[in-house]
This record gives sequence, C-alpha cells and structure tokens, in this order.
Amino acid sequence: MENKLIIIAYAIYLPVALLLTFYVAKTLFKNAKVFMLDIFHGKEEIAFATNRLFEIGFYLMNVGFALLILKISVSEYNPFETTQKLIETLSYKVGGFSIYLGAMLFFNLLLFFRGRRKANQPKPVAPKPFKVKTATA
Amino acid sequence: MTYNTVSYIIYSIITIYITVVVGYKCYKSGYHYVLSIFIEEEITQAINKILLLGYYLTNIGYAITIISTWNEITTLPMMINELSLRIASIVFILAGMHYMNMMVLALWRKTSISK
Repeated sequence: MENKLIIIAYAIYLPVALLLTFYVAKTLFKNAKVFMLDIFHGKEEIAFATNRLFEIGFYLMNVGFALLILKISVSEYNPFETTQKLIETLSYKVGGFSIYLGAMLFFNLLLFFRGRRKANQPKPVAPKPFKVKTATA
Repeated sequence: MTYNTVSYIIYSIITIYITVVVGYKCYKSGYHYVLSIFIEEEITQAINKILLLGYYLTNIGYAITIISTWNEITTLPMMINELSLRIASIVFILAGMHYMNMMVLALWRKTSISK
C-alpha cells in the first residue's frame, strides 16, 4: 500500500512539475523576445539566438531542481499511508516548486532589465592611452 | 474522505479563485502604471504578462505549500474555523502584497519621471 501510494505521488508530481516548467518557459521567452530585440538594437538573429540560449538554461535549472526534490522520504515516524498524507506531501512539493519557479522568473526578468539598461546607456568614451614618461638616464 | 481532505479541496478552490481574480484585475489596471514608466507599448505588455505569471506562481505556490502545515481536524465546527482562519491569512497576505506593490510602483514612477 505504501509503495503504491508513493508511486502515485510521483506519477502526479512529475507531470505537474514538468508541464508547469514548460508552460512558464514558453510564456516567459515568448515575451522576452521584445526585450532581446531592444537589447541588441533590432538585430534579429543574435537576439533570438540569445533568447533560445536563455530558454535552454531556464529549462536545465528548473527540470534539474524538479527532479532533485522528487524523493519522498518515509520512516516509522513519518508513515505514508493515507490519501490525506499524499495530498499534504504533494502540496508541499508542488507549491515549493512553484515558488521556486516564480523566483527564477523574477530573476530572469531582472537580467533582462539589466541588459536593457546597459544596452541603452551611451557608450563610455575610451580613455586615451596614458603615456608613461620614462626617465632616461 | 476525512475532514482534512475535504477542507483541503475547499481551501484550494477558494484561494486559487481569489488569487486569480485579484491578479487579473491588477493586471488590467496595472497596465497603465507600467506604461507610464516604460513608455513603449510592446515592452509594457511583455513586462505585464511576465509579472502576472510570477504573481500567480508565487502566490498559488505559497497557498498550496501551507496545506502541509494544517492541524488534524475532527469535527465540522473545527473545520469551518480552520478554513476561515487559513483563507483569511491568505487574503491578508494578498492585501499586504498589493499595497506594497502599489507603493513600489508609485515610487518607481516618481524616480523615472524625475530623471
């Protein structure tokens, strides 16, 4: 009974976490294209390539984290026998993962803002080469 | 089905409904605020959508995470007490975050205009 319940929990948790990651990544990077075009001053190729690379990074981080927190530990003091326990464990895992996703989303947004600010700043004038006067003997 | 399971279901339905409705309303009326900061319409829409998604993820995530800390419920009055207390706390957190958001937006707007 216990093993069966744990398998059920995994079977619910994995699709939920992966689909959530997929949906969030899709929405975020669909909207990030505008940012990228702005950052790279309308050069489409490099903008979309960067967008794609960020997307891959986002997937790797989140799918990795989702798999990392998968394990449900069971012991004598912490039995896993009722539907109630199943709901509680799942809610903790899915909710925690969702908060993590939100934090990652805001982190990515922060990166976009920074990039945009840096790209729109006027380029600093390169300092003139400084000649060192060497004392000639 | 124990009392706990039933109340988890009721609790999630109510809190998710409240979160989604509040988020959508803020998304609608927050648009003009964000527009006044970023000027361009396209980027404003993108930012607004990402913010809405982040709001949903963190708030619904928090609401669901809290389920794991409930006490054992044995009677019907206890269930109603517990439900109202939990939903109230979520609503209060939402209200606090809402006012904080408004403050941040107002401050941001002030600095971006004065620049």
